[in-house]
Amino acid sequence: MRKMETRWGIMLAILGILGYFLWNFGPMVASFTLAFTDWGIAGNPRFVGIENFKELFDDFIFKKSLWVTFYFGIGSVISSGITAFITALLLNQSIRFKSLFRTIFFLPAIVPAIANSVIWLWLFNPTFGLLNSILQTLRLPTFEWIYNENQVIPSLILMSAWQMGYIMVIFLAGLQGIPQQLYEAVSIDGGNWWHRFRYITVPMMTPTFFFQTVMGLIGALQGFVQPYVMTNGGPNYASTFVVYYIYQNAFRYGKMGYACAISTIFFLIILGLTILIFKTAPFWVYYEAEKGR
Amino acid sequence: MNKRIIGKVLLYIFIILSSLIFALPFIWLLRSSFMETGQIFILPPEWIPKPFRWQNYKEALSVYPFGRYFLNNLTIVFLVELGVLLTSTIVAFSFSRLRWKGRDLLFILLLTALMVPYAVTLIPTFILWKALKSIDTYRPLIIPAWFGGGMFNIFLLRQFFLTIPYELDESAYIDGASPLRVLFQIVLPLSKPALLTVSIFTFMGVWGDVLGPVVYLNSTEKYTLAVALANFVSTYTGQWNYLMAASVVVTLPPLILFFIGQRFFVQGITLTGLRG
Amino acid sequence: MPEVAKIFEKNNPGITVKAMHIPWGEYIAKVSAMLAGGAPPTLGYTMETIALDWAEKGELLDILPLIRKDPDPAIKMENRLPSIAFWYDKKRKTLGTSVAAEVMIIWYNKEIFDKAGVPYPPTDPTKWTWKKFVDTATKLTVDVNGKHPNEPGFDHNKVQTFGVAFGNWYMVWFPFIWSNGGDLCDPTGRIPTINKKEAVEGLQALVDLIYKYKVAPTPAQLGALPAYHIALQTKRVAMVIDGQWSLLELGRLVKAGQLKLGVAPLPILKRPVTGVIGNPIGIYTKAVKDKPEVLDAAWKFYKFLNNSETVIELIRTGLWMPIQKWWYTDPEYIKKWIEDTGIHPPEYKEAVIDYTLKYAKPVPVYYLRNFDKINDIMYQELSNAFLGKISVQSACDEIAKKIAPLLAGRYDK
Repeated sequence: MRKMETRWGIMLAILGILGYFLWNFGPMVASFTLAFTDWGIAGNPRFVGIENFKELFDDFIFKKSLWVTFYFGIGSVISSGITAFITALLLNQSIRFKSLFRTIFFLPAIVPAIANSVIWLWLFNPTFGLLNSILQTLRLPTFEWIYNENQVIPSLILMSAWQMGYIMVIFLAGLQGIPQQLYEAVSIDGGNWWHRFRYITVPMMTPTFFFQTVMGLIGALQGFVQPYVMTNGGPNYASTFVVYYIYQNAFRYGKMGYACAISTIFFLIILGLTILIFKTAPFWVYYEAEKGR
Repeated sequence: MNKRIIGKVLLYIFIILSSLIFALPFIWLLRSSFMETGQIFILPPEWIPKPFRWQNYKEALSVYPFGRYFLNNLTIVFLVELGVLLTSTIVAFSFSRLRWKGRDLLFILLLTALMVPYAVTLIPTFILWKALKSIDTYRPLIIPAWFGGGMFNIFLLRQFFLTIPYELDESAYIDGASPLRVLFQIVLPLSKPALLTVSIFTFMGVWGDVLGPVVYLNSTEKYTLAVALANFVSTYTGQWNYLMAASVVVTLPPLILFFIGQRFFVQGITLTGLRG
Repeated sequence: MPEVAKIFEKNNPGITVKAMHIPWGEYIAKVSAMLAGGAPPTLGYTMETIALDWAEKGELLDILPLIRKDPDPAIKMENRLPSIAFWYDKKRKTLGTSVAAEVMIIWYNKEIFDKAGVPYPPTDPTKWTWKKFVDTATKLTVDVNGKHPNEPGFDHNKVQTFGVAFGNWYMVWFPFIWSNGGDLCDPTGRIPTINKKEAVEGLQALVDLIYKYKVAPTPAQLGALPAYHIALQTKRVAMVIDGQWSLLELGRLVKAGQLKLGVAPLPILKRPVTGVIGNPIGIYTKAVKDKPEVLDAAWKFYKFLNNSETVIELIRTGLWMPIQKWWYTDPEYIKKWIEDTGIHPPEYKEAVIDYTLKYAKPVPVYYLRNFDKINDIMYQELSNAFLGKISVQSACDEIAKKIAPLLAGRYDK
């Protein structure tokens, strides 16, 4: 059995491994190598040793963007994860027009970025935006939202909770994957909805949560387009994400080598976090297929 | 009984109210597509087009050969979907239901493909495809999909495959089945929601991709809808009503696909042959 | 642009132009990839901020030798507007000029002026004083209760019509910094002067329009306004500080009879001055190297694009301004440019054409190293000043400190 599994395992994984080494490995190594050069796309790369990495330590934009990126990344993984899970649970019940509602909740993920931006520029507007109007009616304090350097990231996290369509779909699919028998077994034993939720839904969903944690973090750390359209990275760098800064260095500042150095450091951080999350998996992720193996 | 009804009513009110918020951008887009440019960006937004301009659609769609771009898109999407569904399932199966040495370490290594920003890998990747004489062809957009279909999909499927009890495979192996047969006859039939999820995401990813086609294609006639739409913005600056009409048209296929596709997310799978 | 290529092909049999239409958001990534891959386009639009860097490193062709060999007067540097020239290597090499000039001016809606009984701005910038400008803007700014900013009870949060609108970006900053006698850095391009009194006061004048005189929208209010041409048409704004290029969109409204458009120079703080900008077209060295026939064809196309006569349609629609000097001095050419277009307002000749020739100054993109990054830093630091959170002085002090290591001299010196 073991031998059979090893042989087949490598054979079936080979396409993925090959794909990685054909299309990803080379460019990745190239970018790590370029991190030790001074290159601006024009001209030829010049080896500069660890100059770029030294420069990083004095680069206030890099340092700020690192903080901003993790603040947003962790915040948005949590906020969009929770929103998506609640929505998926609601839309997995037997309610009317389920298809329609599911589609509607997925809409922000489909429409062009411009539509999302305009809507949120309106919602966030301090003087006549919808959010402040609601807060005013409820006699709650109002905010300056994206026009304040301390409030811009919480605002963008709020917005990302609303753009959770993708995660909702993954969670819905996860909920479908839970065998009905398990719920029936709990009911037979006299369990109520809370027992079903706590002892079946949640543990059976942990593989999906795990996926969302890892991919959400990688994705949130990498994305910058939507926030950039709305805030231009400001005010005062408060929404300048690392990846945006990498892009600027690579294509606009003529500092591709430096961009590669930033991305190398950034890569190592993400890799470390990913390994950390993987290490925690045995403590909280329940894999039915691993049971008794 | 009464309590149940009140609960249901509250549930519906909650869902309807929140769905309004989620529908906002699409409603905004749709009504913009019937407006004159002057009315589109008035804030707070106006919701009724005045005057109502059907002709935005006619005029917007006559700007580019949208039919051709649509076909280009379909070709790419079809070939990518095929590659992704076929290969990502096989690779994910190996990483979840077969045990072999170094499997989990290798998995994390493959995941690193997603951790380097495209800004620094774009140029080396481009040079690679150029060396393969594939610039101005669809190859760079399609071929990678046939090599595992990307780590996002492999990872997603892996997680789903791991929720299916292993006893099912075990009994099949005892009956002399090969791993491929286990994959196609036992695991995949139980993974329809996951496969559907992968298909929808793949479709949307390809459909909306601007950077890929722009970087690898040189001939305008090979462009896709998303590129045409992006070009529309820079060429017809200010004519937002046409842009909105074109955007609605480009948004519809994924929307319809999702609407139809999610119907297959039906409550719960039923396992057969599972020893309780 | 593809249409322009077709006209060129018709006039130059034997040369085919394969036009690539690239979305602007992906343009720089695409061209960079082509360049790094060793197969750049033959010629193309180049981002102003990166053009000189690429030229200096030899990726873009120095066209001075080609200009010398060519008798065509339209291509000679001395016949083109000096304010849009890209020089490098101590002015021994050049990329030519921007393919079109775009000057910063004020567009306004005449109906708003008429209704308020306020005289139109003068077309001679020396008469368009700051005081007159602020007075005009104050009279034109009205809140929903019909109150002006200088009246008690005026509500800045409920403004019906703003007197003037402007964005937070370099084409707005520099004319006012210069007009007040300041500058970003010293003439060598190595020492920051942005935190000196003159420069700070120039920027302060802009911020004062928002918070002191309350005649301009805050950044949040600006974000809620539609695009400038719509804001003017719908009377949300009476005047906008913007580029000439907006005439393309404004012109459509004028032709449709939906806007009575006027144009004026920028108001002055101490002296009249404005900024000018425009993308250059570069010839890529690798694409023409050792291929004399390709170079020959590329040069013909370059000349075609850089001759305002042949691209006159783009000029008459309002998108571009010509680049040869005679378009600004010779009445015959001016006629060809603006007569019977149906969109150029009557003040255009004085407020734009004469103004550009006399008072337009190149912005630092044309000569300063690392300008793109310096610009980003200025934008970020000034964003809090434009939001009214910090003083312009402290923003400028921060800028001076942060850009000091980036000031590495000029391309043309």
